[in-house]
Amino acid sequence: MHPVPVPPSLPNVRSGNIQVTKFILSGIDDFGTKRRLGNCRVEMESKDKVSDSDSGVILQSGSDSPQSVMKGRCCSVILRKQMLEETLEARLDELKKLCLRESELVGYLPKEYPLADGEEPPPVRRRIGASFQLDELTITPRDEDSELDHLERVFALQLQFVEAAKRLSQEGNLSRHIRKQRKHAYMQEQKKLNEIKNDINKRKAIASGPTDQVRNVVEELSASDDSSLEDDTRQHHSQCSSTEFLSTAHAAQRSNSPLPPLQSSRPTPPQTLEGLALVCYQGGDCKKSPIMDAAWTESNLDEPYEKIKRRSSLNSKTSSSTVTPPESVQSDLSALHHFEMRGMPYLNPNSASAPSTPEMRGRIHHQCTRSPTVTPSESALSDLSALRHFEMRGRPYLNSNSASAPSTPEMRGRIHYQDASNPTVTPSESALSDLSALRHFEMRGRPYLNPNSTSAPSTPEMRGRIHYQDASSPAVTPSESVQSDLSALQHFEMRGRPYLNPNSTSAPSTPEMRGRIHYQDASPAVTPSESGQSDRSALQHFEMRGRPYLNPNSASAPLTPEMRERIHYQDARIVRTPSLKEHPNRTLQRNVVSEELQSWHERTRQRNGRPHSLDRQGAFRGPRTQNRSREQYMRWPALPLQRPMPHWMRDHPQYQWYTTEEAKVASQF
Amino acid sequence: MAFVAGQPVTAVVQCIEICKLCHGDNLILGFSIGGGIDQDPAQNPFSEDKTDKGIYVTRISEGGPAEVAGLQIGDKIMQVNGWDMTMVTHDQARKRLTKKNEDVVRLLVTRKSLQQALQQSLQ
Repeated sequence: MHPVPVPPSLPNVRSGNIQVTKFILSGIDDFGTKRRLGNCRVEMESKDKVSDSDSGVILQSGSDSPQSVMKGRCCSVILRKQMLEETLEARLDELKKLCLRESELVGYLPKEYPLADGEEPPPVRRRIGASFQLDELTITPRDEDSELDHLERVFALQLQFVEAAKRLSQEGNLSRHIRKQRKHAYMQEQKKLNEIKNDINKRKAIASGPTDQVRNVVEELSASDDSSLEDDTRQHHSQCSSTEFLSTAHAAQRSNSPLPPLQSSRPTPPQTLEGLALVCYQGGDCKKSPIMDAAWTESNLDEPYEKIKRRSSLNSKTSSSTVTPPESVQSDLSALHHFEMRGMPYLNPNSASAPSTPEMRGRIHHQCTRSPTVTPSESALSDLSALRHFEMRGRPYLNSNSASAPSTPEMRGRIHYQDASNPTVTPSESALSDLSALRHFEMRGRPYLNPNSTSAPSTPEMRGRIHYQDASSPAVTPSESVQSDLSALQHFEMRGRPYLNPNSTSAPSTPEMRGRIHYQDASPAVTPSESGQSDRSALQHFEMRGRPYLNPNSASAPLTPEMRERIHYQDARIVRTPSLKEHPNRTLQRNVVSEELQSWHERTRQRNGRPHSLDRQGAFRGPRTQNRSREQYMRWPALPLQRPMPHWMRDHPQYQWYTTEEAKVASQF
Repeated sequence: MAFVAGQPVTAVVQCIEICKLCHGDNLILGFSIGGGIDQDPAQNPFSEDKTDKGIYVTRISEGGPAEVAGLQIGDKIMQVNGWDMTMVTHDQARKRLTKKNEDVVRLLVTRKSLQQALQQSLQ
């Protein structure tokens, strides 16, 4: 029969209803616990119970009251009690929410928070930016709450509203509709503020002398935003000076009371609104300055100014190029931005260069070169924009034994190029400038180059080039110009792992290159025929996936049919054939396969008199005559290349080819 | 020592004349600066008013020209050779101080102790 604990002093606004409700419920609770719903028994209505309750519901128990009447009253009362209980619950919930919101704003939990027994107060989370400083003097009501005081209080509050609305309206990333809404709200608040200000000024004009502070304060606020109050800048100046003056001289005056707290509260973080508008010039600082705030840095003046500038600009560029002269040439290396070499260019020790893209190779070469003779050609390479921001991921691994051991594949190729130190190479370089074939070259996977290769470029193209350089034959030069139209090499993709056998000296990894290299190795007599190779349409879209495996002892094997005639193996070359073992799921195109076959044919045909340990060499010993070359050449397009892919993938492709050729050869002759 | 934007600034300043030292290819001054209108003023350890975006002396090298001339750490630089330094970016400040064709820079610096000294002398 304990009374329900009622909060001692509920604010009038919020809990007027609740207070009354609680009183009612306290009585009803006592009443109801003792009873069952709908089971009103007059007998249970003991007098002592009823008399204890302080509720307004008192059932006069009288023994002679008719039971039915009592029952009816009971039921109605109980129903009412239920309704009131529900209402109370709802109100309590509301109160809780309001208290939480208030705590967010104020910073502490208000005492009106309804706490159930044993429940602890919830943690208060202060919302950032929700703190507004209001002068205590202004807003706390005094004993005599004059109208002016009241107005000033309202004004102070309204100022905060305006500032908040302004900040809301300036929030970014708002939809047009919301932005309009907020702007409108801001206007409204400002209008109200102006009205209040006018009121105050009127009263003040009546009451006391001229007080410009309030007016100027307000105008200062609005001047910072609205264009309509531009003429108030004068007043702003006067206001500021008057502010300072007033703050020192009239601190005691109520009308100037907003000033001192503001002075002290000036160094506050931008998020907090600093009280009234007298700090509005700092309110202007609350807006982000147009210059982005960087971290506060200290800079040493002992370093010359230019260096700092240059360093920052250098950092923004890639550090791939260390040579200054080519830098000027590479000025428009725009395409090199965002170049990425994926995969792991793993270069075997002696591999020369394993660039991942054709452009890169060209570029690095461009950058690596120190030879002035290369300069003219480099200008041609100037639009190799691909080299900027070249990223080489993975691990370019270079063996120690490699003579010229650059760290990047491209470099290697180029360096090799430089090592050739053949002035005659220069003019050809210009021809190389149009390495359209190298464009879009992607080498993924691991180009693995064998240690022993002397000039060991890891990419086919490079190998070809390098080989070209090794030729050091002036006669080769004119042919190079023909090679400029390497349209065949366009879209060349070599994936997987080009594996070069150790013993190959010049180890081209691609068939085309092999052809090229071979081409370069050829005697000058080959030159005129080279021009015919310019139209390498056959090589276009050549895709070599998987692992081009090069036989140790095989010479360089050009793939193109045209080359076959001129093949003249002078040195042992590593021949790489695409191995499909690595990527069984890839499909080779028919032309690709045919080219491969052709190259093999060429290769084997040229192996006259050369000791080859490879077993399959024997298959070609028969038709290894020059006069057969043409027949074979013509025969090649008719080669059936429709074997199913799995068939290809399973066995070694070379063997497959050899078997085929062998069969064909056997049948022909 | 912050000021009101748009209002004339009054401060007690000391004129410090620093003769740059020729150190190899560079002319060194012997101090470092921090601050600027493009920097976050709250991180300035020397400023009284954390909204002051002026240029402050953050470090003075021992025996350097700045120390010899009387520059102290924490000084706020108001002018350099007549150029204003109260409303400049960090880079602009560096530029004005490290001009190669200038051997001598005349700084107007202010510090709190100056203000206090002045007040004491007036009293």
